[in-house]
Amino acid sequence: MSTNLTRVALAALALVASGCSEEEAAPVPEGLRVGLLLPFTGSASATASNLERSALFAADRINAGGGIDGQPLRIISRDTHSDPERGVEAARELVALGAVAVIGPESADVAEQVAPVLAEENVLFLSPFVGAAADPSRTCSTPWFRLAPSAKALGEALAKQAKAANVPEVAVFYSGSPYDRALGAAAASRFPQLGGKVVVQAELDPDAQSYASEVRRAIDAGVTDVILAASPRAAALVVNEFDALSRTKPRWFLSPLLKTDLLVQNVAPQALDGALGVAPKIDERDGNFPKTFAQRWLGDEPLEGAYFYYDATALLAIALAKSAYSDTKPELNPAMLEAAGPPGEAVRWNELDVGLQRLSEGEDMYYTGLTGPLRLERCGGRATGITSTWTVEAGRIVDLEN
Amino acid sequence: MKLPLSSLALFGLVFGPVFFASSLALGADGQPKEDVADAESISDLDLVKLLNVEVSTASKTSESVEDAAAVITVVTREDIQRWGYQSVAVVLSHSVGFYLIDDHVLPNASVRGVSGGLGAESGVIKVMIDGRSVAYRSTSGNWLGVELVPLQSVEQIEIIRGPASALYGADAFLGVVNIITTAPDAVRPVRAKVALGLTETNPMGRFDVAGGAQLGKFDFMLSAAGEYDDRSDLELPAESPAPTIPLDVGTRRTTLDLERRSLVTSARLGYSGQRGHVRLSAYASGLSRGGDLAHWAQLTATPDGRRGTKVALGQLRFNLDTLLKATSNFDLALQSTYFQGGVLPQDRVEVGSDLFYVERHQSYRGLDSMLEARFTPFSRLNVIAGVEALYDHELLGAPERINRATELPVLSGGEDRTADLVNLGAYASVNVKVLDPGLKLTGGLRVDNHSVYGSQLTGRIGATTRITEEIVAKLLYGSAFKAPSPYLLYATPLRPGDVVGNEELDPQHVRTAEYQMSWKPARIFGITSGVSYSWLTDKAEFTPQGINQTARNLASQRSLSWETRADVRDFRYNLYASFDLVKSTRELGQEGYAATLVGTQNVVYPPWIVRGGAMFAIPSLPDVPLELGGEGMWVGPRQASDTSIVEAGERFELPAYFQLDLTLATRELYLIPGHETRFALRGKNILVTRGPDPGFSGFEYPIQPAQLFLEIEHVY
Repeated sequence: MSTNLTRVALAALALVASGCSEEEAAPVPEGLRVGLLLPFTGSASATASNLERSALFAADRINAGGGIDGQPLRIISRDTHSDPERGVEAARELVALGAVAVIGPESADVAEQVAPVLAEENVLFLSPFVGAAADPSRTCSTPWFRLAPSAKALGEALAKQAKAANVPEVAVFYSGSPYDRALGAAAASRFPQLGGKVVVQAELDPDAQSYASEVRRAIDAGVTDVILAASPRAAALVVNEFDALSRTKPRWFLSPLLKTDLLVQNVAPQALDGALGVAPKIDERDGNFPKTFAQRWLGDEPLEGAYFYYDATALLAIALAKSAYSDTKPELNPAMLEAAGPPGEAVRWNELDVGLQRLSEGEDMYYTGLTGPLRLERCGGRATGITSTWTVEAGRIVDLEN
Repeated sequence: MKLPLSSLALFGLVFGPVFFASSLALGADGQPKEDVADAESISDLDLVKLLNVEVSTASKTSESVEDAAAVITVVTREDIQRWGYQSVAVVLSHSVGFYLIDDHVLPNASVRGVSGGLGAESGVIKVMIDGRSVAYRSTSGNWLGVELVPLQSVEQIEIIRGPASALYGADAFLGVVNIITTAPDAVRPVRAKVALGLTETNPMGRFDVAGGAQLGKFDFMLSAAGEYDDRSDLELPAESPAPTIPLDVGTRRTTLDLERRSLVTSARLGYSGQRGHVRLSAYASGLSRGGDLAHWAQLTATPDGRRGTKVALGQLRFNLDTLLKATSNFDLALQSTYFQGGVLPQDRVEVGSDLFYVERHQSYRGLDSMLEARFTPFSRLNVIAGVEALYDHELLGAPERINRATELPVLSGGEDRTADLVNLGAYASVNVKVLDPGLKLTGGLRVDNHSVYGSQLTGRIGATTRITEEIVAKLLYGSAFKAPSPYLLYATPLRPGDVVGNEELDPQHVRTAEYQMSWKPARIFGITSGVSYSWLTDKAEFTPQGINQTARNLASQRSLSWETRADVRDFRYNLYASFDLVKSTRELGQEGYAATLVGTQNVVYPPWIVRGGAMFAIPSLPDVPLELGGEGMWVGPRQASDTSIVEAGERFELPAYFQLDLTLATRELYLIPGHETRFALRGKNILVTRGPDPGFSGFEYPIQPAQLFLEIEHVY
């Protein structure tokens, strides 16, 4: 009897213990694999999940139309950890997993390290929102596709905005990331050309927990207007520390990455009221995209960059389809140029399934995005990207008529 | 020889005033109420109690632990005394089915594979004192440290594993801990305990005292406990993937401020007559914790003490408890509690800024009243039905940033907001002995309606059967819900990355089926083993909300657990051994990189825990009988939390650890006839195990540091 009991006990123990063994890593799904390289952790991690959701949302719609040449589009995400070295490591992993293209990485310094690796592996590189600090070159051996205006262009637009608001003197704060540095430097360089004066220019360590010394410098210089280009986390710290030190609330001029409730949510309710900002222009303002996005993601709404990530995934899908269905079977890079503009019939963001179907039937189609016409130059820069302006009113971000 | 002498000197210092006061209470003759011969030894009591432990939590009626329709563990006052448990947290950490993560502010209890996660503060269980919740309402968290209850006033702790919302409403989710206080006349009239020693190299001290008496039909009891402890100098575990550390900390990873202060007092006045009783009681509790391992930012304290997070909270309760014995088989009970609590003025949160720190302004107050009828038409049947109304007024003050230089709030302030939360509940429970003592059936149903999250229906059914004199089996099924706390509904982030409230958050639900068998073939031996299967739905998980995180009802979890405990007790020894095995899987309800990376395997909770304890009488001088023993706990490797996994970029496990406590104590030492005095030298975590335990904010927690202390306890 006792032997039987012991056997039963040991069997049960083994049963439960067997369930405690280490879980296998999730298998990589079959299909056309597209790598998504984003900073899910680290100093630039604010928006990654939202951007990933946008790419997944686009993939849903692509696959709802039967995918591309019978294959589903699979998004495989990897983390840059906001670090160039780890970003390159993650990019290599995506290449090894068979990614035909890599979208990302929301950081100029990571992008600059990743671009040559992908070019060497002949893997298409597409940076939807934050990707390049400088303007795209006119000559290149391998294109690097970018859907948003460069940091330099946006920085200059921010300087113009400040000048248009009759600001005589500004402080310019930007984080040490190449994108923010390029944007801040462009603003700092353009503002004096417009007749203004930059009284303090400071680079912020993106990993710091406090920016007290920089903020003190600005206040000591009597600054009442600040151009700020940083991650939402760093920007929130700067705004909060200005609150702590300054008797008067400064007027803020904010970079495109700060057009997010993430910033507003993490500062005192009135701290940003009256702030002005620039952002890449988004064309789709009828509310359908945010509504369906929120339905798909349990109420989470798309951030500014999410529009660009949707466009990037959709454009890539059209390019992949053009490459697959065309008699000439063009390489993917030239197919991207064809997918981004006429000739052919336009496919809108919510017509991807139909568009892909018609492409498979031999019709000529191109993608026109949530962010407007996407026409691309040979080296990957966007020919038509323009900026828009926005403000903060009563703790809410409001687009201004342009 | 030095130890007894110094101990006696300390004894005199501590208990001299107590003896004096007690002699006044005893009257002019100075005779104690009992002599040595009448005094029951702890060992005798233990054996009697082992055979006949009465509980009341499972059905709100007194019944034997075998008959109770719940998987229940009883920790008696003698157990607390024997093993030297300093708090309910320590009791639970040694209880089968539980795993506690101590974040060095408030311990977080997990049950049978399920953890509440970040900031849960043991909210997955309902902790009550004499049937009343003592949760800190803003977070629905439970304080389990010394600040919870003076253990000298405790008769026993009844620990139910499994859902109990059908009787106790919201938050009796994965278990119930009901602390039963002792009758005032049983404290004879004063019990007191003091402990002094070291937490590694820092001083610590603790006191715990209860006094009471019955004067005719009136009785009263006063009790208090307090602790000063300092866990500073712990190292932030090397496994921590992404702690939030101010840059000026440099390479230091040693905590500077983990100082802990706890205080709890309670008072009770009662009148008992043939037709019932009326009791008034008051309870006040507060805690202060150095927050070098707080989740907002770590290692923020500076050597000069001018910076650093301090968590300081307090709560207050006034209770009215009446019982009317209307007829011989019908009782009516009315209980009402006024409660209030909140953040104390010393509270401050460092968020990493050089310029400011944050002051929280949160408080609550409200009333919880219950009217209950207990009807026993036949000896084999009892019916309990009741209604409960709860009103909770939450003041959710905007956190203020305080300028370090001026100590004044900074320019931009937020807006305070309030929330009035109302819950109405009605319940009924039936217990019927179909075959006495062979088969008892239990059923219950409760409906709650809350002003925020609407109606919730919970229920339970169960059968307990005595297969033989020695074997008892229980088959149980129940459901429960965990209400979203005001914090999760309305939180304002104190720093980028902190929790943001989600007003759409719904309750979490669990359904559990359990089977347990107990076998007690001899007076000295008993073994209990049981399996349970729990299915959680609408499980709240923190998900990214931009740079912050918010709770959403996305996940589900299935957990299979097997728990076994064996006890051997005799006059000269006391042994126990137990193990938990848990297999738990989750569906996160999320897609994308993070969800794929963390996978479906359960995190945080160890797949196995083995515990054991032994206490033996050892050869000693006839006048100073001694016992020696200890408790050990071997915790299996635990997968790190989701947050840590994502930060690390890969799944990883925290290593298994073994923790050992040792005790050398006197037993049945009567320095004064009829009054036992107990000296104990206790070492906690004497192997200086560091763990770590899983953290939820990018870093892991070192387990409690080693302690060595001398404890003196006297019952007068």
